[in-house]
Amino acid sequence: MNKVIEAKGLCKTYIVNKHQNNVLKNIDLTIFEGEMVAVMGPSGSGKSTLLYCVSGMDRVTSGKVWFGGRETTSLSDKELSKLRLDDMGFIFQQMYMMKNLSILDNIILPAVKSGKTKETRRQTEERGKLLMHRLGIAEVGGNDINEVSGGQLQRACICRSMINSPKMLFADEPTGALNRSSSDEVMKELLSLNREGTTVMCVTHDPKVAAKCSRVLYLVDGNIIGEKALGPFDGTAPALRDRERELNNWLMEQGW
Amino acid sequence: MLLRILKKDLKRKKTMNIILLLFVIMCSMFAAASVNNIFAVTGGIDSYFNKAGVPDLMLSLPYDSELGKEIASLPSVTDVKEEHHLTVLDSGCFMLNGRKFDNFTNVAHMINSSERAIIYFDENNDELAEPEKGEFYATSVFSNDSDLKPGDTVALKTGSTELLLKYKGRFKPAVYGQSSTDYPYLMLNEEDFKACEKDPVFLHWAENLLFIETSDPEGVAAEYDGIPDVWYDTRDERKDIYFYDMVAAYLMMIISIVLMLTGFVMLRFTIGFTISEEFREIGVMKAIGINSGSIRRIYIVKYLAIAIIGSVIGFFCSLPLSAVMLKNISEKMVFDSGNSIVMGLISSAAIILLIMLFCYFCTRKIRKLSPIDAVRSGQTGERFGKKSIMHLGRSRLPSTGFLAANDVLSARKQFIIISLIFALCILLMTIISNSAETLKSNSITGLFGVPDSDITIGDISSLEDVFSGKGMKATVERYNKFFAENNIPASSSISIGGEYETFCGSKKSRLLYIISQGVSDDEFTVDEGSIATRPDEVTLTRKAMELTGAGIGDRIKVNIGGKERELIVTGSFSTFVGGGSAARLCSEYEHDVDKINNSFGVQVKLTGSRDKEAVEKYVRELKKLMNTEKVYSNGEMVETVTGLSSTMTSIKRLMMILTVIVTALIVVLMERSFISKEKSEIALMKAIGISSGSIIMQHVLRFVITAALAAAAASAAVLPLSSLVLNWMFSMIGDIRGVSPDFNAAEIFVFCPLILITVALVSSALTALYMKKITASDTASIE
Repeated sequence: MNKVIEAKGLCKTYIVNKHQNNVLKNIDLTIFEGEMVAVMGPSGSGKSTLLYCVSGMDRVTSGKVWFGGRETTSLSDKELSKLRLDDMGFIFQQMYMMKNLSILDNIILPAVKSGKTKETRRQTEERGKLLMHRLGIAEVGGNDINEVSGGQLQRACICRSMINSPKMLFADEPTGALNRSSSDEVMKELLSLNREGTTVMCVTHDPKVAAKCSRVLYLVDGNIIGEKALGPFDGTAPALRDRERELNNWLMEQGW
Repeated sequence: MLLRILKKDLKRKKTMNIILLLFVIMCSMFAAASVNNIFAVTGGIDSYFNKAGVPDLMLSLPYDSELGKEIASLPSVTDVKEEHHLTVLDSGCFMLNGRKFDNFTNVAHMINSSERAIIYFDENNDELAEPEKGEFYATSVFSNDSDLKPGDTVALKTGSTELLLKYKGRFKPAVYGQSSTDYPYLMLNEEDFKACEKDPVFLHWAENLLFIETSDPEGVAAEYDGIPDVWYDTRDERKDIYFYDMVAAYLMMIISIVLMLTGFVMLRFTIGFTISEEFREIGVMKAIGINSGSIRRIYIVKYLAIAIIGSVIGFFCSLPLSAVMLKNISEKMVFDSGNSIVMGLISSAAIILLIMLFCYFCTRKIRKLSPIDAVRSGQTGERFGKKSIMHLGRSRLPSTGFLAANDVLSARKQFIIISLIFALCILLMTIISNSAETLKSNSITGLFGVPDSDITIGDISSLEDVFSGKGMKATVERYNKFFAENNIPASSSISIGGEYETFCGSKKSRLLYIISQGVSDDEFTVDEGSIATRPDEVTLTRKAMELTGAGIGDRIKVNIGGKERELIVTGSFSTFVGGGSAARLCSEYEHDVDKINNSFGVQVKLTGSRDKEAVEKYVRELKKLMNTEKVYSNGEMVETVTGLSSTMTSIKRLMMILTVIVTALIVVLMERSFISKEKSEIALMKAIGISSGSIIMQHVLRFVITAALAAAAASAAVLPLSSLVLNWMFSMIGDIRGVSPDFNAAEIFVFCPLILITVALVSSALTALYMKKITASDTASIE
């Protein structure tokens, strides 16, 4: 399998009030094409920082990161922006959107900015509508962002992350602010995207979410101290129960 | 606990608080400077006259007249002071470094320093010191447009007198005009004055000026009115010499008020902005049970602290600003600065009160909001109109342009306010520019009582035939002959004015009668009715009609040159002459020149090409032929008379500087506020891969769009507004209606809007660079 992400000797240090805080310590990581990787760990272990560093949203203190074989740590801000716009998708715990744009316009904004495809604005809009239809939010396209539920908004964020057909999706606690049913819907969509070939890296606190991933990394104090391969998830309830049990046992071993 | 919340708030929301503080400083600075300016201007002349001791009545008598003693004995008169003035008829009698003075057109008056009837001031606004023997002070009319500097020695050579006088500096006389067509005044030491007095050449137009304190100025004046060579001015009439200066001062006042309003609007805007920023915290506080009153108190205390600090700083900053604003007019007048500090302090205190009032109204919403509404940034979740007007999918605009335009349309109120402020700034520049253009254009020369012409020969000696009694026609003929002999394709005309008692029924008034020779009556325009074309006809201004009570078709009586005449009013016209209290007689009228109160020299109308080049060519030629510098294009003449165009140009420059500063401040502060408020969106855009350059461009474009809209609105409004302002301004000087402004299209439609757009672009771009500090990973730390 092809490597989508590869990180070597990844370190991230913050200096706050003259105190050095080593958030990531010499991390080596590889994510392969088609994988759905969950990153778990206690609060403050460096999960989100790891996601931001490998996605190029944040600069690393030392170490190197490759995305699709291209080293990203030496890229300029502009090149990184282009890479994020064309080849990466992002979903955050807080459903950030541009408040002056409608839901549909928020979704198609990356496609219009990217110009990756040669399609017209109309065609882009149609594609955005199709995505929304697929995620079950077709009726809220013209709404403002404060006029929809949290679950609908998060699904709109997924649509936005998918509009440029990225190679990889980065999700930072995508279900953190949602109730169980909304959370299940969002995960269903992420799994479906993953099955269609999109690689996913997902930071989560929720074992139920992590159990749906093919691999789980466990981070403590900036180090990956464990890794659990769960294999592809077939989407059935009994399989999920088995995976959850297996994962919980493993997590207990890790000190969860 | 609340104090701790407040302390934390001040520290955490440092940027917004600093922005608010800057606006308070700006507002307080403009308010204090403007209020000071308004008081200085509105009460300016009265306070100056009081300071100088200007009396109730000034009566000019022949030099050796003994009437002063008689007037002093009148029951209503409490005090009479006399000031004898000697005259030097030609500027060429004065020489500096071997060169004759050629910078003033009128007769120079000399005052005996030991006989001063009022207080004269030096350049530093201190009482004028006594000149030593061989020294003199002079008004600006004497020194302007010459190389004269304090310490220079001026040779005075006239008649049998030869004097060397050392120039000590400029002085400000409250009661004498200081425009370049006014009389220059020289203050001499008593010994020098007495020496000149012995030479009859100085007595040619010499006068004995009485400064009379009386409870009945009109009554005293009426007693002596009509006596040959006697004229009078009441204290109020003397104020007319500052008409042009007051117009400039009122303009400055308008600018101050606009700047002050700008400050207030921005302040109101910023307070509303900062409070809306804090809705989430308000919601949290409400949710945990802190009552609305306590929450409001936090903000009121915070804004009170900012208001006090800002107002104090603003007050100190207003002192130099105020000085700059008054600079132009303070060159001629002495303003009472004693109250300015008190006025500044009062206005700074008013700013604090106003901010508190704003704050009270802005925080009123806190009471009405439920905790959850507040957490939702003041949104109740209900909306009855469409927020987004534009749709990205259907727009043809580039994405960055779309986002900028969409932002502007989504926050219409906010950007309309900014746009209005920008438009006001452009309008201030362009209206002043139009006023300056109009005041130096040939198109308004007719308002000075002269016919359509191109060149004015302003040398007083050009009217010697008129003065010597040969008549106006002889002067016109002499000049036409002179032009023909020297191959100058031109014809001449002269217009003079004399002030006479006029009666209509039992109503009596003083009007200035204008008569022109060398021109057909048809060349003069009327606002209503027709122009006087027969010797028994007269055209009046509307002001003159009000004064006399006569309408078109009525008859008025006037005594000119000892003959009583009855004249039929044929129409109304506009003019500056006589402050608008004027009448025009037909050119056929035989003028018995016993009084000349108004003259603009000889007007020259080119009969060939009348373009700018031709006018300049013949001005140069006439100067050479007549050996005088006092030949002007009509535009120059208007500027020389009013001095307003150059003042306007100075004000325009000041306004341009202020516009640049105010626009830059507004843009920097607003953009900084926007970045602070939109930090989450900026981080999000960066996270999804939109480049910093594109986001910066979006922010810059918002201001450029706003500035462009302002420029369009200002361009549409500038001409009608200029017309309003000009007519208002001119109506203060004379009786003027329906003047259309002259304008420099490139300046008002291109240059001024471009200045604003460029300042908006540069300031927003530089400020927007700050958003480079916001990174994509900041999405994780956004509240």
